[in-house]
Formats: sequence, structure tokens, C-alpha cells
Amino acid sequence: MHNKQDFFEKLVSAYAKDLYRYAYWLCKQPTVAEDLVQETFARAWKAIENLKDEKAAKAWLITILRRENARMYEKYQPQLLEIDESLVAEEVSHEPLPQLEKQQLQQFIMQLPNDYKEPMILQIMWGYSGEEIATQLDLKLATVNTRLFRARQQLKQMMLSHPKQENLASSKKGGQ
Amino acid sequence: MDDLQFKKQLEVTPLLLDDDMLAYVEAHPELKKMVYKTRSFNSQIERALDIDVPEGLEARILLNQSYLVSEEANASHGFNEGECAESGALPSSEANSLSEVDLKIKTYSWWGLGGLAASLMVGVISFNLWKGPADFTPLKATDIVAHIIDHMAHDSELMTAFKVPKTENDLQKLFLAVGASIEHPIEQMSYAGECVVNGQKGLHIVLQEAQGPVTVIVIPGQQLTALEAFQASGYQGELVPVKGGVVAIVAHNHEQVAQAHMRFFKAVKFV
Repeated sequence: MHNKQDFFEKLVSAYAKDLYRYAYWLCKQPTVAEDLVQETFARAWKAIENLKDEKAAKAWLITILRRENARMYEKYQPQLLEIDESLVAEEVSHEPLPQLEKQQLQQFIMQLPNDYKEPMILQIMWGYSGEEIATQLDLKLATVNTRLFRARQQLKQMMLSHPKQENLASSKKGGQ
Repeated sequence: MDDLQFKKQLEVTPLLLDDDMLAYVEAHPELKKMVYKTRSFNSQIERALDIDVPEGLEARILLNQSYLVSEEANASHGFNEGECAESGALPSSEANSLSEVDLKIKTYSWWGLGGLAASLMVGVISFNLWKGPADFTPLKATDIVAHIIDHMAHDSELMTAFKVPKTENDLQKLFLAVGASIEHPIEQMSYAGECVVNGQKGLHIVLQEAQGPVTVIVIPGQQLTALEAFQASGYQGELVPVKGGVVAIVAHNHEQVAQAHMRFFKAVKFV
């Protein structure tokens, strides 16, 4: 029993924070995100004996959390945005400015459809490979790659559409 | 591979260039700048995704889990809550003497606490360790608990007092003085003021729950490395390490502790 308890505490210690971040980016509300994480671990505890391979714990917890999120928001699925296929940034000058504020980027990430956001979070935050993301999200690898590509392109597009005010000011000044 | 393919693949896996991509970028050195910029953007995204996690999240998860454990234990042992005491305040004769304190402490565990009943009073005692005085002496968890119990007994009248700072600023100052800040209103708060526990100045708060009063005491000067659950003289509680300090929650049943814990940490942030 103590092994079960110890194992659970290790799971909490290892994954609670990143699961919260994952939940937050999915549901966009801190309190709901915590509820999702709490429910995820509650369900994990009840079913912890079903987890045969400890190495699978991370994917298992994400799966539980995603199901809980879907259950909570099944009536409020966000609409997917229409994506322009030719969003590739052709010129280096169009690359986002490195000094773009974190807060602004967070707002843009928040606006990304979850279909694009999730693969990106799994890749960047959880260190998943394309194949692992495909398995986790039950998608084809090509679909995952497309979504990763589009996620970054959409972020860049949003950043280009909403340049920081100081950049606007300096460009206006330069144009005079 | 051409430029467009390279660019697309770079956007998909900016940190992982396969052999074809490496060969291509070697043949086109001007693309190195693009690789750098793409990776820089990736780092920006990574930093943006790394949002702050609420204070005490892991502790709350473990408390919720401990509640599930108790439910399981109660179900398997046919536990009858009616067997437990329903007393409210701790008798002074019990609280004033450490030798009379039935103190059991267990790190990150509530096993064995499931048999205690609902009570009328919950104590939440916060030890902030952010601003300890120069002559501060670190205490063991057992000693902290003993001081908490002692202090609660001495200030037991505060459980029913109604006295809070008149303005939000004044209330915030009380918290800031011990390294904490109120992010949201603390519901049902009936008392908030300074206190002294074990010679250390702190903050004493009482919340009025449906089942009885909740007490919060913040005292600078102690530090713990892990959450400690305890039971002492009819109380149940926990000591939760927070940023630069420890929060202790004391109650007569663990469900109340968990509820008070959630309410407190959702409202208060340690800075």
C-alpha cells in the first residue's frame, strides 16, 4: 500500500505542475485548470493499479486529463480557425522580433485552436517527439507535423499582425 | 530538399535537424540565421508556456487523495463517524502542556486520520518563514505543532471574535508583513490581526465555517522541506511548506483541513 502511496506522490511531484500548465492552456482558466488536475489525479489514484508500466505514467496522466477536459467542455468546443496554407514566413525580416513580450505571446498562444496548441505543448513542454504526439493524440504523424507547423505559423502571423507599440512607433519614425 | 521543404521541416522540429537538413544547411550557410531565429522563437514559446503554478497545488492534490484514501478505509472498515468526538475548542489543560499532546506526524500522509469525526472548529495556522528575526531558532515540526496548539489555547477567544482591518489596504499590509499577499478575498473571515507565537510575531486569522471557526496564524521563522500531516490533542492538521515558509492547517477532521487548505491557498499567495 505504501508503495502505491509513494508512487502516487512521485507522480504528483513529477507531473502536477506541467499537467496544470497543460490544463491551463487547454481550458484558459486557472481555477478550471486546477480542477482538471485535481480530477486527473483523483482518477489516477483510483485506477493506479491499472498502470502496469511506470514509464507510461506521463502519457497515461495526459490521457486522463484530456478526457476530463473533453468531458467538461464537450458542449463548448472551440471552432477551428481557417488556416491559410501559404503562411510560411518567406523572409527573415518577417520573423518575429526576439524581444516580443512573453505576455503578448501568451495571449496569442491562448488564441490558438487546441488542435494546434496541444501538439505544440506536448513537443515543447513535455519533450514529445512527433511519433509520441501522434500516439498520444491518436493522430497520424503527418497530421501532427502539419499542426506543429501551423501552430508556429499562426503565432508568427498573429505577432506580425499585432506588432508591439514601440516597434510601430519606431517604424513610423523611420518612415518620416 | 529545397528551401521551402527545409523551412517547413524546421518549423515542425526546430530543435531536431535530421541528416538531410544538416546537409542542406551546410550547403546553404545563409540558412543558419533562419535556424537560429526559429530556435529563438521556439525558446520564446517555451518561456511563454511556462506559466506560474498555483501555490500549494501538489499539497492540495495529496490532500484530496488522502480524502479518497480515508473514504476507502472507512468503506472497508465500516467506520462510524458517530463514534468520534464533536468537541469544538481545545481545552486549555490539554493544549498548554506539550507532554499531554498526543502528537503524531507523518510526512505527506493522512493514513490513520480517517477515523476522526467532523468537528466544530478548524484551525489554519500559517507559519511564514520569510522574515524571521536574526535570533530565530529553527524548530522541528513537532515543536511547531506544539506551539500552534499552545497559541490556539491562549487565544481561544479569537475563535468567536469579529474584528478585521477596515480597509483592504490594511489587510494586505498584514499579509505583506509576513511575506504573503491576498489575491482574492478570503470568505467568512471574522478576525485578522497580529499575534506572537513562540516569541515570533505573526498573523492570526479566523474564518467562520458552517461547522465552526477557522483560525489562521502566520509566523515568520520556521522552515520545512515537505508537507507534514499531524494529529495532536484532538486536532488534525498539516504543515505545508510554501515559498520561503510553511503553512500549517489544523482542524478536527481532515476534510475540513483540505477545504480550509484550498480556500486559503486560493486566496493567499506567498511572494
